[in-house]
Amino acid sequence: MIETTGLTKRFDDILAVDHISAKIRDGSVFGLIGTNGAGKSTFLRMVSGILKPDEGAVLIDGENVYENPAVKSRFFYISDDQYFFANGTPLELMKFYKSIYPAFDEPRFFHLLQSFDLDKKRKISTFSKGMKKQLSIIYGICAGTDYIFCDETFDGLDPVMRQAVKSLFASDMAERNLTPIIASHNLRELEDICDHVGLLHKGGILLSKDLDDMKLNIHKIQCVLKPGIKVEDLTELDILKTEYRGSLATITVRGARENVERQMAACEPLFFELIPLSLEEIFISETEVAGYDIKKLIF
Amino acid sequence: MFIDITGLFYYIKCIKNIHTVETYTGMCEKVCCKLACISVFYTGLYNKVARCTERRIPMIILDYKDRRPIYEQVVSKLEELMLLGVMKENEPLPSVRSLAMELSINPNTIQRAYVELERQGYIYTVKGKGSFVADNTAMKENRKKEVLLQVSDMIDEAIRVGIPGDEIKKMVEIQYKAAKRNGGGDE
Repeated sequence: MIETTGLTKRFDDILAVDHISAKIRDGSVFGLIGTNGAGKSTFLRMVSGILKPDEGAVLIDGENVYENPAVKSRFFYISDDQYFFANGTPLELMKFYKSIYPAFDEPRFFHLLQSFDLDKKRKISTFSKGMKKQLSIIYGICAGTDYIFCDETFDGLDPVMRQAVKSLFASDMAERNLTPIIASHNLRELEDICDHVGLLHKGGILLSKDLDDMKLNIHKIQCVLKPGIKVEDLTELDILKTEYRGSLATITVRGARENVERQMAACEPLFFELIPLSLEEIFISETEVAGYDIKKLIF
Repeated sequence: MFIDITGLFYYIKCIKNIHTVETYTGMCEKVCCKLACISVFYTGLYNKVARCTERRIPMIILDYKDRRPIYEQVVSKLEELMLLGVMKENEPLPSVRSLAMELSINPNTIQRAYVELERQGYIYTVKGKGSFVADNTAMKENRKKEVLLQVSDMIDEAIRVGIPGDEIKKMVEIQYKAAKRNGGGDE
């Protein structure tokens, strides 16, 4: 299990990560989402022991990560801007990784390289951006580590590759309890694969919840209320947002489905419908509450 | 107005596909679609599923536009496969790992779906051997009741939008005949 307590990082006067406490369970997929500049990458760089936290600690199964090679050999970090040796080929880089990760699965590496149609003797510098990402993922999977950190790794892959990589992750999760931690903006993608989602905004963590709990606890209601009743009169509901289009109201509420349904039925609306929110809508409504509003950006 | 719900249910069961329903004049479009959805459950889907298994196409196809959590989709699709008899009693279910790989989703999601199916009594698990389809006669009866309930809801709606009872009966009869001609329905 990865545990961070009060993790904080400043770059001069910029507070990049502000007291983040989170727990990442083994064998589940942790999705890290956040607004631009929220501190996702900084958080991952601290968790992987590249940056030294100003305050707080990162513990992997109770052991500090920073400058601790024994713990560091338990995870593989795929950075957003990857670094490869100048003039290096996949084969040479494989030898390097093998010297670091003792459990590196060489036969599997060659097999995957072949099935991803990557030439093991071609210079990596001549690879395309997407191919480099594929290559990093193959190294990550073959390294045989307990954790794999992906910083926007999926975002550079085409849809077929994304499916393939997700399948690979799925098989390793089932087989050897791999724990992927994925930072991404592609919420649709995360929705399919994540168990648990952490939402960052301005260096802090807005929420960290199981995806299914999250979905069960926030709803959108479209309704036409009886004349004379306003949405504001529904004091029983925990309303996050209300929007009107004529008499049709769209309300975003928090709470269990049964409760919301019962309370809506109690006020006898002319019509009402409960719509579950997608992760994207949850993201927008949660960050909006925290003051991140597109309307401010546009108008 | 009196409508024989049980009779209607058996007719609707045999409606073949959405196009024939849509072309029927005088019916509210929304009601038509709903009618078609339910009928597809019993007829079209059966054929589709049977074809899928023949061609070795993934047994479950996820609908990414569906807003329900994925595990719920997996549960309901597997339920349908079992209720339709595509997966027979005591037949093994695919392993969590292989299904997760096939669908490119989190194995925990599949595991969760299996736990839910077991809780509902659709499947049973043998330690070290995997999951198997359980005896589901009771579930089939439940499902029939559920569909029947949906049909009665729809009749309510048909009445609400002002479709006369004769027209509903006539439409159902036409669809029933069409379905019979196409060899749909198992009655």
